[in-house]
Amino acid sequence: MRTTLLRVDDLCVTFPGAGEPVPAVRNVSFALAEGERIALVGESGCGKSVIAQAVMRLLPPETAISGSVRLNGIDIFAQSETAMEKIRGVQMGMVFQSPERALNPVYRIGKQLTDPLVIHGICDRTEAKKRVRDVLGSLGFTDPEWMMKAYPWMCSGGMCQRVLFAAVLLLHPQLVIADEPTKGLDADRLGELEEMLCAVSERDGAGLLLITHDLGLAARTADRVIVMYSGLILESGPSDVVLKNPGHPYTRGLVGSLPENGFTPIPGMSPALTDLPSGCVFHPRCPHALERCRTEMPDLCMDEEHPARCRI
Amino acid sequence: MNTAIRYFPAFPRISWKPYLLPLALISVFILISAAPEAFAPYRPNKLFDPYMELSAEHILGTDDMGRDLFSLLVYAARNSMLIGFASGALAVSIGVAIGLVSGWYRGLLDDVLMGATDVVLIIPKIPLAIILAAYLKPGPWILILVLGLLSWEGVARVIRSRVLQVRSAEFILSAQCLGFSRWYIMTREVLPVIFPLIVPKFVLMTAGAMLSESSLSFLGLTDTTMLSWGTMISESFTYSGFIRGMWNWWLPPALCIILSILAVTSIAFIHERGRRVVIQS
Amino acid sequence: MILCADSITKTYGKKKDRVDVLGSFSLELSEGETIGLVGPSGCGKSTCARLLAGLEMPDSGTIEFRGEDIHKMNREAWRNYRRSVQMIFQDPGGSFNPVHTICQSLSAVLAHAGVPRAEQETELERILYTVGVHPEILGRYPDQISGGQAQRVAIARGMIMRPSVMILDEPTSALDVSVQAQILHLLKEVQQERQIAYVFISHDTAVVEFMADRIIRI
Repeated sequence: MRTTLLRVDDLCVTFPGAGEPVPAVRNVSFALAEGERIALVGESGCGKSVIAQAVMRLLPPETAISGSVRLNGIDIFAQSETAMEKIRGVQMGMVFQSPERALNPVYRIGKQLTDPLVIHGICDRTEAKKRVRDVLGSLGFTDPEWMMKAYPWMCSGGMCQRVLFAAVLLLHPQLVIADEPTKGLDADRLGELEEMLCAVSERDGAGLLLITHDLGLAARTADRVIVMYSGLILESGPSDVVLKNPGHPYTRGLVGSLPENGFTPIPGMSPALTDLPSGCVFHPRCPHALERCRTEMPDLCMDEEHPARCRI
Repeated sequence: MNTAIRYFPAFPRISWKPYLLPLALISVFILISAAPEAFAPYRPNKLFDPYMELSAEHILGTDDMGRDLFSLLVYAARNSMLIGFASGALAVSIGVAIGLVSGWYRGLLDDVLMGATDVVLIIPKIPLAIILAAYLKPGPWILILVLGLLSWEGVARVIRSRVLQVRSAEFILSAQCLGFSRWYIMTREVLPVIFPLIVPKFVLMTAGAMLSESSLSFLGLTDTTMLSWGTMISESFTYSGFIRGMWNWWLPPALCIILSILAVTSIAFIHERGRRVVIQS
Repeated sequence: MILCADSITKTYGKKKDRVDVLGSFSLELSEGETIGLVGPSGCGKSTCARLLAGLEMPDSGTIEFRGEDIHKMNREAWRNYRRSVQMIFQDPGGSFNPVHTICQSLSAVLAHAGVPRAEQETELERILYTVGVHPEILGRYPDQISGGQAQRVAIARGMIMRPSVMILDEPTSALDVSVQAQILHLLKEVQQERQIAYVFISHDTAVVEFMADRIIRI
């Protein structure tokens, strides 16, 4: 039984918004063990990126957060900002969306990669440069020296993506969060990305929290898949089970949207978070909706092997 | 259904309270310029005893010729405000037109217009104003023309660089695809987007022109028969207002100049906080 | 044969900074057909799209619309070409002016297409209904609507001009997988109803195979 690395309990995040408060995340609970890979899957606006930012404690101060997030038993929300600075990067790392924008354009890549090692006091600059060269080589760069002297704008999106992964790997964090890593990436580069994601957890025994809207990528890369919709978890389970035998109509719809299943669309659109439907949040778009789906919202028990928030 | 094209981007939902004061102040000044007869107790040419002290009938006393100083102050507002706003409007109109055309067409036209801008940049405003005032028929319009025609280069450059950015945005390409003419796109697609840039520029040009006018009038280098706050201060120097310690002559116009320029520049900051920003990534 | 490109090339920069973005590309598009253009990023697909849409001029080669060279057309023919060839871009929100509401953007196009003011409101509701968007988004700005909604409105806007060709430059690359499925189906519906020819550009082979009758690789 592997130790629990990350434990999220009943997390609720509400943004103040321009008029009414916006409930971005509601009652989300899950646990990630060491070496395990979990994917949070859902459409844009379902709250998955918000969860990642909540775990890293990068949300703006006026956000209302309740529930708890524990990393290795440490309560993240109880830490001071100084303590968080030591935790971020070293114990948990994040690979952001849009690699070209996540790198500072005025500094060389070598400097951006060696700085975190030096700042966190892990090693001195000479040793840092050597480690960077090694990691860049292992990620498939044929000329690490050139890469270290280059600026981000000289590199393509795919190269920047690998640099971001290098940045995260260098610090050997126990938890790696990848936020929509496929954004801006060509379809033919997906294979490389999947390899890198798997390598991250296999190499160091780190846990991976993958955030994506692509159920296919999630199923290929992760051990467990958690499907989210409008801030709620609708289904959770081992990735092959969820893909082959979805327990929730929404997941079934997502599976249908995949290229291999003929791009079958789900009718309708996600509701605005300030104007949620009564009862089951998915019932307006559900082909099997019953009368009671309009009034009752089913519960979800995360302790089960393959829970689904549906009565059917 | 609101279909009017927005030239004025939506105002953000910020608190209006801090900006109530400068807006009120500027409105008061504009009101006074528009209808001085309603505010001044007497006509500016009406003569009383000279050098009178502050009293109930003469709130600020009288000057060396016996004119009521408060009435003079009120009537002087018109020229100061007019020269300021008119110069600002002229400078911004020319600057925006040139910046828009230059940024849109690029190439040879852009080079020529920016070359012309450089030339205008070199010409010194104040000495030219002095020379022209000496040779031509005096009046506030000389000042407006000179200040307006020589201040547009800052506006032109800033507008041009913004237009260059916006020009390659996809919504402009969309508009071209849909078949809108170049002029339509420039005026109804590009202009509303750069509008938040124009307003602070206009306001700062106005403030600058007001300051230039006051300085020139104070130095006696403009039309001396023109009644403005600057000329009032100048006259107080020339006609023994300082020596006699008559602060009621030179202090009120000086305060008015300071307050009006402060109020006008504060308005520039309201528009700076506008929300609809076009960010090119 | 509605659109035909013959050995078009495009180079950016001068002398030693030259970048050959597109080298000798040819294409023949018939009525109601879909041609897919596939290739990795930076291979010149977007440049190709802009050349075909007439937004840029090729350095060599010709582009013909219904047999006429588009860069040698007179005003009337050019205006007709402009109306008949529309383009959908990759960034859905970016193809709308950020300081205009959706209503203003669409009304401007309706007015340009000659729809009288009195009929504009009904026409707006009708076209939004065809693409499956609720009219309440009319009062919103482009950054206030989702990518999927924006792309639908962009398709609706393109259709106002009754085009015979639509050039789709990576229309679903910036969208979620589930929204992508909806947009692809919408595009197919529109094509069946109106017999529009598509040039569908994407880096995703699976998507192109689903949409296109013929595929060209760059």
